Amino acid sequence: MDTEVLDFIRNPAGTDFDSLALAVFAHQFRLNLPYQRFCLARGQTPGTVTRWQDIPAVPTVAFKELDLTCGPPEKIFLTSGTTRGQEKRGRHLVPDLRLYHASALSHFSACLLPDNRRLRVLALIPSAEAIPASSLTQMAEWVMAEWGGEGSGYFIDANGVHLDAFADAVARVQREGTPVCILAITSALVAFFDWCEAHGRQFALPGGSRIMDTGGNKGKGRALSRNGFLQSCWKYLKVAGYYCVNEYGMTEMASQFYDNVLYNRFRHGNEPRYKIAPPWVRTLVVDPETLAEVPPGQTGLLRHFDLANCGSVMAIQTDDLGYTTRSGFEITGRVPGAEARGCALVLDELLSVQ
Amino acid sequence: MRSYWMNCSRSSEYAVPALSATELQSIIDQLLAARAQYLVHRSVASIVSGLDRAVQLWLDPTSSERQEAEAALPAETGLSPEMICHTLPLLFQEYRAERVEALLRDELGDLHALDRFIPALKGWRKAHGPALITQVLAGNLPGAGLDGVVFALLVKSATLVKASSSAPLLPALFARSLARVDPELGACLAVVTWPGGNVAVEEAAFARAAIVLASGSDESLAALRQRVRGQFIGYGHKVSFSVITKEVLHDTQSVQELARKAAYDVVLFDQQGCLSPQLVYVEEGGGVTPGEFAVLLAQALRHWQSSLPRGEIPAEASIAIRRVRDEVEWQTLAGKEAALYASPSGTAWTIIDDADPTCVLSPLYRTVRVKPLTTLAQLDTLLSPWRSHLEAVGLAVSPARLMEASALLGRAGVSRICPLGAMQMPPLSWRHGGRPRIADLVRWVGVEA
Repeated sequence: MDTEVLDFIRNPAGTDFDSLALAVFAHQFRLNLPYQRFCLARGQTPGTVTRWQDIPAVPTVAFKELDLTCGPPEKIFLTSGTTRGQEKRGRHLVPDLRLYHASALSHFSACLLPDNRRLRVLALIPSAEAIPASSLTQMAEWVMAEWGGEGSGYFIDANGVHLDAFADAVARVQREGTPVCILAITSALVAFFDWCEAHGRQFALPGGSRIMDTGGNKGKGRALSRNGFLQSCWKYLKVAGYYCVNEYGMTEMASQFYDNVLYNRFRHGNEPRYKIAPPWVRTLVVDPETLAEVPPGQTGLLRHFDLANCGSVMAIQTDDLGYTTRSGFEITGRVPGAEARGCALVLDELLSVQ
Repeated sequence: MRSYWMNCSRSSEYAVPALSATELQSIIDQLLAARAQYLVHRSVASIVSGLDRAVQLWLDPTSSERQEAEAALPAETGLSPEMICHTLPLLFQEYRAERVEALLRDELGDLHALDRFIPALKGWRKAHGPALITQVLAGNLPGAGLDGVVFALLVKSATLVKASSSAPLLPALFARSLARVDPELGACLAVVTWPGGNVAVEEAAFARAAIVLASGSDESLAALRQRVRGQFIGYGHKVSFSVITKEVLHDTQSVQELARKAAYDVVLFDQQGCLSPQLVYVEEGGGVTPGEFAVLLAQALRHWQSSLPRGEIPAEASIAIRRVRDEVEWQTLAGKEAALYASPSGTAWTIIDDADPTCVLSPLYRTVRVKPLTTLAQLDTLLSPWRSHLEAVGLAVSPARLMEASALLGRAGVSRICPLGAMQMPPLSWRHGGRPRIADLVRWVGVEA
């Protein structure tokens, strides 16, 4: 099954999502026994489900209670949690990392490197030494290995966030005139903007530089609207909004979503900013009260079907609110009380270490 | 004063007037003038009678106020029309004359203590209310905070009410009804609103009030408290629950009745009140186990859903309920001892039979955990994290153990203990937050013989 999905990721043109999704569901129903019990409690089996939209979706909270996997894991990713926190952490067991690798890199390159450039990567993301079980860090590692030019590196480690060093790196890039790709936790970049303001500094990154931010502004740091964030990217780094790509991902999913802005720019598309998925992921929006699918454009809960999750569970019910757009979706909010994903809480801790 | 609110309508009849500090000062001037002219020299008996006439309008299903409220409150509150029709008379029945008089006697020792000097231990004494009491209503429930309005007028204070901008209807309609039946009394009450955080307006509203009464979240109360120069009385976030002891759990029929009453406490106001039980503790060792009681409670909630359906709820609330349900379902799949009983579609009601006795809060809107107790004494430890937030307990207990159980709950921090099915109908004498209501608003003058 993994190989078939891998083929689809490598060559999406030739495969039918619907039939492959049903095959993946049958595979998971057979091998992922807690998921099988969950489906049976709903009276749903591969025999009764005929459309991918009807595949039973697992809430993210399930990953805190049980290991949802179709086989022994090659790697286990943990949802973010604080060392002080008492809360259980979600565990995503991934039996075959090749799928995550292929999916993550393929859609990253489509959305962030549509011009096929190799760029120095400056990561305001915790390094693998700091948080070995972070799926975001895993992705950053792969991105650096695949496309990262000389001088790539992390600026968050177990000792905290190194804003001075990051500023030095940014200044060096500016002097050298070679464009970079910044990968950042949103709130870490906001902390850098505050640092710039406090030190009276403004930088101008070389043309072609780009920013991927993720995780939202969930922690205790200063909250900044998306427009405010984009304005700061211009003010402090001279990176234009269409080179600023927000990533939306979760530990429980092998695939990610990105803003369409850079993708569109290189295809001369002219659409408003929203999130786009790779061809092996579909998203439904459901009513939070009834869990029934809502009409296009209406706000509800996002439910993702990710074939790259072949080894665990493909159908994930999130607590994130959003609505569908012409060929993607937009997130309008993560509900208060839903835990902060994307390391924002961990970042709070690291910032407080300083 | 009666017409201020209504004159400021924009898009709807109850639209929020954009109030400036100057306008508010002038409203307060008018309130104080009306108090000096109409209220200071009026007898308590006559004030009670004026209030009673307004209350009668609210107890009359054919009155225009009642009909207007029944038509408009479902949209404003999210509660179902059935719930509004059911609860409006419950809200107002406590303000009838005989109950108000009994409360005055209970708290001040004499019905006329605000009218003249009454005999005291050594001489005489007389109670005085302040010139102005300002009230800030949270707006989580229709009618919440109305008692403060009634009490302020009883102690002959003019009162400025800041209604929640999301729920101004009922206070505004009550002010209108009072002005209709008793224009002089009505002139001493003004209902206004302004967007929270408007410092200039809040300064004006608080500076001239000797007492500020406020309900709201702990954070908003803490913020208000800092701005108030006079006395501040705050009603913050509270936690209530039910306790069912083993001796009352014998035959199925009587336990079904207990479950019906316990469910009624949950159902009223869709569990949004500070008196709504968030969880139900069932003592083990009776004829019915906690798990069996959970099933009966689920049946009762399903039954109430047909006569008093739950209203519309925000998406965030649906998500919070789903999250709790999902958590239990997956914990059960993981082998934990728990069971989930829930409305088949939607989130109208949820019962979680949970073997872990730890006190956890509910996402509300008719979501209840049923938890076992080995002994009542366990409650002291279980409730300790919530001690400063505990309010009411709906208690089903044998007469022989009533005082023992009540003493234990009182030590744990609870301030009101009542029978199951009566949690949402506190008597007027209920000492909200553990404090006297009218007695807290007055200052005494003593004359020694």
